[in-house]
Order: sequence, then C-alpha cells, then structure tokens
Amino acid sequence: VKSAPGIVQHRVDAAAQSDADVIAASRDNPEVFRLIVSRHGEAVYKYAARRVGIQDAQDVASEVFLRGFRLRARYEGLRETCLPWLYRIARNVIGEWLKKANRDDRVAVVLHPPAGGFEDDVLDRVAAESVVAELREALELLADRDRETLLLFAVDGLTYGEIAASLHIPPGTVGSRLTRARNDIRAQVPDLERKASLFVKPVAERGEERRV
Amino acid sequence: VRSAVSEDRHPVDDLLRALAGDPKVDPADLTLIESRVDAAIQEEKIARQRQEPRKRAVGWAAAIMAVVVGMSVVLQTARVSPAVATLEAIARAAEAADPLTITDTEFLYTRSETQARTVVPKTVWGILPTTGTPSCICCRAHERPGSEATVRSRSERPFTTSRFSPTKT
Repeated sequence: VKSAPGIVQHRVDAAAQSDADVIAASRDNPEVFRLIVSRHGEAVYKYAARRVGIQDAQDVASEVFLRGFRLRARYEGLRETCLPWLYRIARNVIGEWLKKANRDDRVAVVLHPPAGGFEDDVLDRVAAESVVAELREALELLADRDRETLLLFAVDGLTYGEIAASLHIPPGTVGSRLTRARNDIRAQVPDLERKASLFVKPVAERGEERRV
Repeated sequence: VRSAVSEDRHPVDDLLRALAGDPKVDPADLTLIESRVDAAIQEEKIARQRQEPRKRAVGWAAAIMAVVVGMSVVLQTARVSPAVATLEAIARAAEAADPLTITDTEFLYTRSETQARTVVPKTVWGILPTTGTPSCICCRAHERPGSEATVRSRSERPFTTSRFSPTKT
C-alpha cells in the first residue's frame, strides 16, 4: 500500500507514543485510534472470553472498542497504558450484556479444568470438575468489588496501579481487597493447595511462564 | 504481557489462573473487531466533513462580526470630542479673522468659538474668569497672518501669569 511520506512518518511517531498520547491525537485524527485496537485488541478479547465465553468475546470486545472510540475525548486514564480504562468499559459492557441476555451471573468468569491431562482418568476429571464448582461457589460469596479485584490481578494480570486505575480506588485498597478475597476463598475451599496442585505446575516446570 | 513471577504469588491466584485458562484468540475475530472500529472511524470522518461547511460559515460570521465590532470601536475612539472640535473651530475662526496687533504687554483671549477674540492686557492674565468654562483659549501673543497659532485649553484652573510668555503660548 502506497502512502505519502507524511503518513508513514505519522505512523512511526504514533507507534512510539504512549496510549494517552495516541488517544489525544485521535481526537483530531480519528484514524490514529486504530493503534489502540492493534495494541490491546488481544487483551480485551481475552478479557471478554474469560468473562462471557469465547463465543461472545468478539461482540463484547468490538463494543468495548467502539465505546472507547466514542468516549476517547474524555480519557483521563493512565499515561502509558489505557488497558485499565478499556477493562472498565468492558465491565460495563458485560454487565449490560448479561442483563440483556437475562443471565443472572454474579460471577462473570468462565472456569473450566484445563484441557489435556484428564482424558484418561475419569476420576481426576470428576475431581477437577468438583474443584471448579467449589471455586465458583466461593467466588459467588465474595463481595463484587473484592471478586473483581482478585480476577483483575490473578486472571487478567493487571498490576496494583492498573487495578487501582481501573476500579478508581487507591492502590493501597487493592492490596487489602486482595487479601480479603484470598482469605475468604481459602476459607470456602478446604485443602486448596492440594487441589490447586492438580492443575498448577510447580514453579520449576513453569520456567519463564508469562501471563497477559 | 507482564511477568507474573515478580508479583506476590498465591495459591488462590494460581488456581484461578489455571481454571480461567488462556483463551485462544481467533485472528478472524480480531479482524472483525478492527473492521467495526474502522467503520466507526469512517462514520465520524464523514460526519466531520458534513459539519465542515457549517463550521466554516460560523467562522466567517464570527470574523465579520469581529471586524464590524472592531471598526465601530475604532470609529468611536477616533471621533473628535466636543472640546477638541470647539478648539479647532476657534483656531479656524482666529485664522480667518483679521490679524490683531498685540503688543508685548498684551495677549489674545477668547472663551469660546462664539465670542470674539479680545486683546487683553497682560496684567489681567491669571485673573480672567476661566474656571468652569468649557474652554479658555490663549493664542500666541503676536498673531500675524500666516503664522501658526497654538491653542491651549484649561477647564478647571486658570492660567497663571508666570506661565505666560509672549514668545510661547
């Protein structure tokens, strides 16, 4: 695709900019917002897939970016990354989506035993399913705010600062909510460490495991 | 993508992470998301293009209004005040009138354009009733045809004799 040198230069500059700069530039030049989609499309898609299931992830993620595009003039999030802001939009979109679908899911997270490893052993499979049910029940008993904090940290991989930005709370509150949520789950799921070992590889096996 | 090892790990987190899994992203879904955002971008661009002529018209109207207001301010400022107009009329009248012979001990005095100029003895300078009058004009002591006349006005305080000089004003 041929383009004017100015446009190429603009793209190169935009790639080096922070999310806040890109969003600010997109107010005058809407096309720049594409960069936000290419930077965070995958993360928002995964967030949506974990919350509502893979079959609806595309619809939810599209709506998140469309809403973000419309709301970009009012962006006041973190300078480097707008992901917490996108997750906040995603929470609202998912809330509306669940209401529309007449789904009364208090725990908007899809849990299932990891694929592989259980196919040969029916007993292990049953045990795994029961742990999922136990954990799901424990999550349901948590306060909404504690549950969301825990999911953003443990499942979505946000830092304390990013969670604070996403939930509009002080960073210190993130820590206290996490502690409370973990303790409550531990109290609800007896023998948690042993059950977790069914699914979680030891640290040595994880090696350079990274999460998104 | 960020490192998980550096954060404080907890068995609850590990369990949750394992059971939530890492959903596979379908590239076709990502393309669809991008195309929907593209459509919104194009929509906004078209809406902006439609608004452009209206914006330009509003801009022109604002500019014209600013020029009109500016010109009226300038005209108001440039308008000659009644006092200055009076002085000019007096000066013109003085120029048009026959030259008067004024000695070194006299000066020319008039109170307004409607009154004739009077040659007044220098000794009465300072005691002429000038206070409260709209203008008190003192022309050059020696008025000759063709010579310039300097006009000075006082509306509050009378001239003092010490400031009078036949060679000045």
